[in-house]
Amino acid sequence: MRGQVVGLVFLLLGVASTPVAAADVDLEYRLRAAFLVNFVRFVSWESAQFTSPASAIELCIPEADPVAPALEELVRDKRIDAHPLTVRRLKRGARWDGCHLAYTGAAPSQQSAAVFRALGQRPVLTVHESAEALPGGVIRLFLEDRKLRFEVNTAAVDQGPLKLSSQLMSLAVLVRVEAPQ
Amino acid sequence: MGTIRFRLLKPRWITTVMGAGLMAAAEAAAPLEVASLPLDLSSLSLADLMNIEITSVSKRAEPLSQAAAAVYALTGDEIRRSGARSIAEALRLVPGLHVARIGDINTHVVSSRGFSDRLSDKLEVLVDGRSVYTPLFSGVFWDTLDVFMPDIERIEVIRGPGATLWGTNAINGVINIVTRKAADTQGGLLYAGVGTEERSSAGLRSGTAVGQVGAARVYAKHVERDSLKFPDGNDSFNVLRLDQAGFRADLIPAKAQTLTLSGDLYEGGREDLFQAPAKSGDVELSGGNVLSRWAWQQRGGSELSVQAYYDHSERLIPATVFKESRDIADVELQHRIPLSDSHSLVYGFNYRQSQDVTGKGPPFVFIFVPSSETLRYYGAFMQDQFALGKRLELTVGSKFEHNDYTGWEAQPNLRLGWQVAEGWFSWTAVSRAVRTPNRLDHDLATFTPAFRSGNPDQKTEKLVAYEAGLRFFGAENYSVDLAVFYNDYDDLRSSEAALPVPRFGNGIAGHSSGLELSLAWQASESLELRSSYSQLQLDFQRKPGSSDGSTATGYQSGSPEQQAGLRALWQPRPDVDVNGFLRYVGEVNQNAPDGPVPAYAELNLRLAWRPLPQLELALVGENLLHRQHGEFRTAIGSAYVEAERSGLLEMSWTWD
Repeated sequence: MRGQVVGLVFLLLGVASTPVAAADVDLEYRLRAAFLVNFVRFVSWESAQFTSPASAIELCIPEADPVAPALEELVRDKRIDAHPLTVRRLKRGARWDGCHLAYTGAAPSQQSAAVFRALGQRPVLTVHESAEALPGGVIRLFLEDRKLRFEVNTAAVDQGPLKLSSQLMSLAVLVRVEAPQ
Repeated sequence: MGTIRFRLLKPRWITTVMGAGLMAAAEAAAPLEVASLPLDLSSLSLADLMNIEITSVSKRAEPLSQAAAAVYALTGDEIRRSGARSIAEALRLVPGLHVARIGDINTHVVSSRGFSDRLSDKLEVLVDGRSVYTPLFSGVFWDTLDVFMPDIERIEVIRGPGATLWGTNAINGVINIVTRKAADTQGGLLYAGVGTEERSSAGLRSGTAVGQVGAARVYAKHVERDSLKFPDGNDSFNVLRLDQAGFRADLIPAKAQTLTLSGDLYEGGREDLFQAPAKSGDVELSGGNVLSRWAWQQRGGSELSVQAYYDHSERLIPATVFKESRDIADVELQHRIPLSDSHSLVYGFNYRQSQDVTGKGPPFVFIFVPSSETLRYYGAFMQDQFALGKRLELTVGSKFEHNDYTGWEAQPNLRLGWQVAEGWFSWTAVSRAVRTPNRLDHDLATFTPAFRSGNPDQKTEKLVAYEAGLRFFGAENYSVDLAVFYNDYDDLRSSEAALPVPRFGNGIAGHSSGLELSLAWQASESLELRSSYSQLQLDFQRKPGSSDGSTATGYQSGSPEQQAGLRALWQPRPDVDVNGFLRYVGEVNQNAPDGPVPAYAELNLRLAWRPLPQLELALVGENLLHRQHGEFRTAIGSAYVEAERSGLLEMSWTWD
């Protein structure tokens, strides 16, 4: 009986051949992931932020964020310059240093703000999706008319060590939110 | 003064001008067709990405912290790290649920907000969309409910009524077991374990891609569970053995469409206490199911899904006690329409047919009149969710379902969610839910149709539930969830004096109230603590005119008044997991003639080490504080047996 079922499965599915199936991740998540990878393309890190010219660019995301699987799928076998991209899923309370991109995803804004505060002046591209700009948050991703838009906090760029390309800035809505003194 | 903020450039048309060529070009272009998008979206420019219209905005899963119900999601990772060996054991981790071993038939009692019993009948339980409670007694045979445990994505538990969406039987709760998508279980996994309670267990899963259109997996597993012990330490001869195999495929037949196909087959047996040690009289258990679900995301964001499944099960308890063979066919359609960003509508239709053949008496002791029956259930539901201003969201809906015994039943609910402040969410709800009569209520007899306890005029059991909750999730490393409820029940099943045998009636009414509190605290990067406390008051009375003897006190004493749990998930090193689960369960069965089952505290520990990334070795200890302890005493006449301290050693190996 059991043998019949296994046989039935292979009959139904045909002979499995090519690896890497298109994971049926929702478009919305795939789109967010694509934005994140594109952001990274427009940021230049100092070589000191990498242990070697071929070491990875680490993209950090909360462990359970629904964008994480799409991001992992997207960065597979992808390089920016010589750097491969890796996704690190972080538990709540984990430390975000060592990340090149810190995306807090759907986390409440207080959590995002706490993460950014803890990162201080480290060369990390901080991205969040809070309802409003946050001090220390470089890019805010938001929905408008069913399309994704992004906002760059010029104060966070000016005060931080990261350089964002002018091309990125030209597509962004610009805001300025100073960190409290 | 906190932050100083001002906008440099507003409104948006200025940005467009500033953005020069790129932005202007993007704005001018028509929205990109979803169907023409490349698989790798990062190959598009940012300007292109900004032009993609998201058709399913509302689909971003509602975070549990914003759900207007008492919801708890147990993740697959929590289950694996707890060392739980079965669905029922995993449910002990959920705040507020009562789970107890009932030893004489080597299975579990699971209940939410009261009514723990061998025939607990007020939960809807689903595995990947397939309902698994039986229309025989509206309960779940937990002994044969099994999945490939490492492939569980999560178990969602709603305490309280969920009948508007889930239908009849979702009175006191919904348990929704979700397995991982086939794309997430590619590669292989092999585990094997030996232990004192779970004497042997092994499982194998293999997953693969299916061309460019999806992924699939197959699995097989085996388990053998030892008998429990009598209070004097003697064996109760109830070893349970279960073998199961199955598959799941998730395919993408066309853009924006998904097709899920799955199926399982199981076969098992259990020693029977009254036959043992003669092996001839084993209880025989077998069954299987196939399911297909097709979902289509349409432009504009609406989602249509159609699901159909078939489920067969057989159960034979020899010594001519009871026999059942059942076939269920079920079809459901659901359509979710986001009408605007702040308003969404979901509606659906369902049809279920359940056909059984039960043992005829004599020789069988527990029989049904008629011995074979086909029951049909059909209905429709609609639920509307809309925002009232920025902070309030109202959900209103109802299910209307027809059953062959009592006709149409309405199960409406009204829920209000309120974003009190950043990080604070409060909700309140009023719902009506029913449990329609089942074969037991209607048709049960002993030995001969003349001794019929089932009542052809049995009515539905009714509940009106009032609930409220408050959550805090604004802190970085801790969250708090509190739910309170008051349940008003009417027409609960009673046992009325009649000749030649007592007959079921609807002579009991009453209410329950209680609270469930849970706290999660990420104490450090490597240590997570979760604690819970729940309280329950039950008050059931005979209605005027009823001659019920002890059913009301049975309802009242099945579930503990207080429960508490403390879990620690500690990862001292990346390759080591240490997990502890300490639980307290209050006294139950105060009505039992042999005295109540006392309150107890027990501890489970699991230590896992991964010497290689692919290899994990785990040591699990269960019920470590006592040599043995009782958890539940069932009806008069059945044996009382206890759970033992146990140990287990497990190895698991994964590969790509």
